[in-house]
Amino acid sequence: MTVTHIIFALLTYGIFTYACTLLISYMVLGIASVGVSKKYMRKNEFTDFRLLVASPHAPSVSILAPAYNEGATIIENVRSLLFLYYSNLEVIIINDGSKDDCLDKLIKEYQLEKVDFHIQYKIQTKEIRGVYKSKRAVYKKLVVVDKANGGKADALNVGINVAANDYIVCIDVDCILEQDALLKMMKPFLEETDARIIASGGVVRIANSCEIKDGRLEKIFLPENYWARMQSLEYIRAFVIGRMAWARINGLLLISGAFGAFDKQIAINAGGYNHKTVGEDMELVVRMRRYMEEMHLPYKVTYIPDPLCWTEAPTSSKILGRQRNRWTRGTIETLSMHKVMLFNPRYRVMGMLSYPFWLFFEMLAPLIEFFGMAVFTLMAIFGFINWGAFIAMLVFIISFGYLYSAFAALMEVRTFNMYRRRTEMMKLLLTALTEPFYFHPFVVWSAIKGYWDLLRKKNSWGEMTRQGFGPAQKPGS
Amino acid sequence: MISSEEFLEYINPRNLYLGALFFIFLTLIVVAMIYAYLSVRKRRYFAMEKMDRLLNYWVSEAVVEGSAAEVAGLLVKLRRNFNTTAQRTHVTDNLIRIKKNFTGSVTDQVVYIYEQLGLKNDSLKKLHSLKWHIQARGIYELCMMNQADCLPDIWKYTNSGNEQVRMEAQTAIIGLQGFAGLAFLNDLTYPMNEWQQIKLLEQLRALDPGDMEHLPQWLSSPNQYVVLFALRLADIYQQLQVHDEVVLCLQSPDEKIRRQAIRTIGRLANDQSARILTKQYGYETDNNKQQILKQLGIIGSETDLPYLAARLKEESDTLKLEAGRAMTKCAPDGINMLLQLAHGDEVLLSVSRQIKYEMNK
Repeated sequence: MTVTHIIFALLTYGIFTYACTLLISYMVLGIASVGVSKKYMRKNEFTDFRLLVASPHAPSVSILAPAYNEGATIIENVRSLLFLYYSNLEVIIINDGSKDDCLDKLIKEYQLEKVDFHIQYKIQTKEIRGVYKSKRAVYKKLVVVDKANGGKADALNVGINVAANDYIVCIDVDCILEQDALLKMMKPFLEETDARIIASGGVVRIANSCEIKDGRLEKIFLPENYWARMQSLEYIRAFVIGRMAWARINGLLLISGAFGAFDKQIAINAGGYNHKTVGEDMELVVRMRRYMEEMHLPYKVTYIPDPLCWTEAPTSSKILGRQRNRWTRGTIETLSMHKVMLFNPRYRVMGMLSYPFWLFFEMLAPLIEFFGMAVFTLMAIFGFINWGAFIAMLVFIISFGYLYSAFAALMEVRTFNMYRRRTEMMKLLLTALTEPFYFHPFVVWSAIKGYWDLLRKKNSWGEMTRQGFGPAQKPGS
Repeated sequence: MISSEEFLEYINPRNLYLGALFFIFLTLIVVAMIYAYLSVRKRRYFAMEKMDRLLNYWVSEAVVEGSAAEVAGLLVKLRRNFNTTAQRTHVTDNLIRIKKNFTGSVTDQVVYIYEQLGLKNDSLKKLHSLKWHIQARGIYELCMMNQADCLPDIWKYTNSGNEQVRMEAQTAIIGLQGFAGLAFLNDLTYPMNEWQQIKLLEQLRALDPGDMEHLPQWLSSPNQYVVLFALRLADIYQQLQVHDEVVLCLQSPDEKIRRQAIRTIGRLANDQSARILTKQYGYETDNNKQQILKQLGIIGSETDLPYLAARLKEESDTLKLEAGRAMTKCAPDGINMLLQLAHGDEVLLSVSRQIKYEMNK
């Protein structure tokens, strides 16, 4: 056997095994998500979540919302948080050294005054300049913390230090939460008897093109913008299928930074958010889980499929590229920090399944795809390509991708069915057809740039310009 | 192991195209399912909306005219409008919704309509289903429609192995019998999660607790969830007669039970309570220590000030803060004493300033 044969066999075997394992894992995830979503729907079919609103026994919750240069929308955003249905609640806004008038606006609108507050530095953070509370009883839930700029992770750690309640819900301040979001989010924490629920995530959906009034979602529409629409499909696949399935086997490694609830004590014991990574949301979940595993404490990380949080997705390739670049860097950093867990039975599901999945199919996937494309290009140049086999393989993979997207859309309509118009569903499915040729290569390229930036030790967050939720934008308008 | 040639045979273009065809075929089926589902859903939505309008009209007639019997007669004739299981379940849901929104005689009329339409039989069938979610729904419907004659049937599910069925049965028993229904705690061998405890406490909130004769038994139950729930009942309804049993719960190995016992002792306070709590303090976790200090702030007196002042030397700032708060509540000049002790100690000064702010608020 010649060296060329060995290399060729290795490449063929390797790539085919990789692709098959990936396809099989997606199939398994898809099947697993059906059962868990169905069970959730049945379990909560006639649940009256409102009972937590008035109950003095409801768990106490602190919402942590870091704000950096959010002056344009901060008043509305805070108001919508104050109107959430939950009585045992405090809303902590952490002004992370904004350069705009964010703090001044808050002080003026909510009649805040600087108060004496003993900060307990359970987690080391940057300097806190002051804690503000409202003079008006109606805003008694509101706490505003002003601190030196230190990034999102540092701001969230300040929030944890200041929080008075047992559970923390970390959100992006510009997200729109459903009014009963906390009621639904807290239920899993109260249901488990055999293990401690250390974190729970909720589904994040795309709010672009939706009708929003006074910080509340009035009508839901499929995004008009191509990039946002494609992300809608991506989010459905990730949240409705992926995370639900992982939650079923207690293997979740990521709870979105846009909306996640945590057991405060465990978050503190694990050391809080890590400001040395741009993937602080994933890193915290991994570290909390690792802490529980190492302490031999029974625990679970749960997920609920209700669409509770709506966010504005990037609508330009530039911003989306930055976001995916950052996500890639965050994943690599997190997995590197916890590499001891790889195939380590001590960490059970996390070490034997979740971590390897993330490593091979999330972190390395863009690299392998890119490598495959490079090899393909070289082989094409040197005339080594068997075009018949290549096209057949491409069609095979692409058709599986379509099946997976269609399945995600089916799961969506069978569960919460946010896009009720048939035309919207048609549009979503048609958009999916373009994914392998336009959106996916772009995402892979952005991830490769993430690898490159990491090698160059570039660890910036990347500016995430948002358009904001302006007046209602109806489809077709 | 197969050779690379054999392997390539398997993944030859023909097989790959066949695979792709299979995926495309499945995709088309899935897309068809999406559209069929959306169409059915849309049709059902309009049908249900029409039915809701009729139902609301009939119910309002019954309410205004006070003639539920007449309206039910009409409904029976019109049964053909809702003869599928889904439609009948929808009607039941609607009646439950209407019942929840009204009080007084209207609710009796809604129940009358439910019975006359034969929907009770549907609920009973559900109750005896082998599927847990249908069974739980049956129990829910019977409870919401005050079907007290089904109590014996429902009762046996209060200790069911299925959590949802068990929870629904417990909720139904309380809904139908009030505090007397709590007798299911005598035989409960399964866990009762926090959600269920909160739910039952909310259900019981508006009712007369009576003398809670089983409370001592529950407080010594081998089921730790029953003990926790009983402690909450003793706390909320101030059951002074079980003070000693509550104190015994401080020996529990379960931190949560001890925390609730501390709270309950604070609520049932007598002249021994502060002493009991301070004695317990040294054996407790930080969370429970915090709770003890909180309770001392409520039941303590000036005589507890030296004890509380000593707690200001605790390592945890949370405990310092709680001890300081308790001092200000135990004595009118507690804050002055706190400020004196804080002199020259940065942390204590910061703690006292926060407490002073809280007092002035």
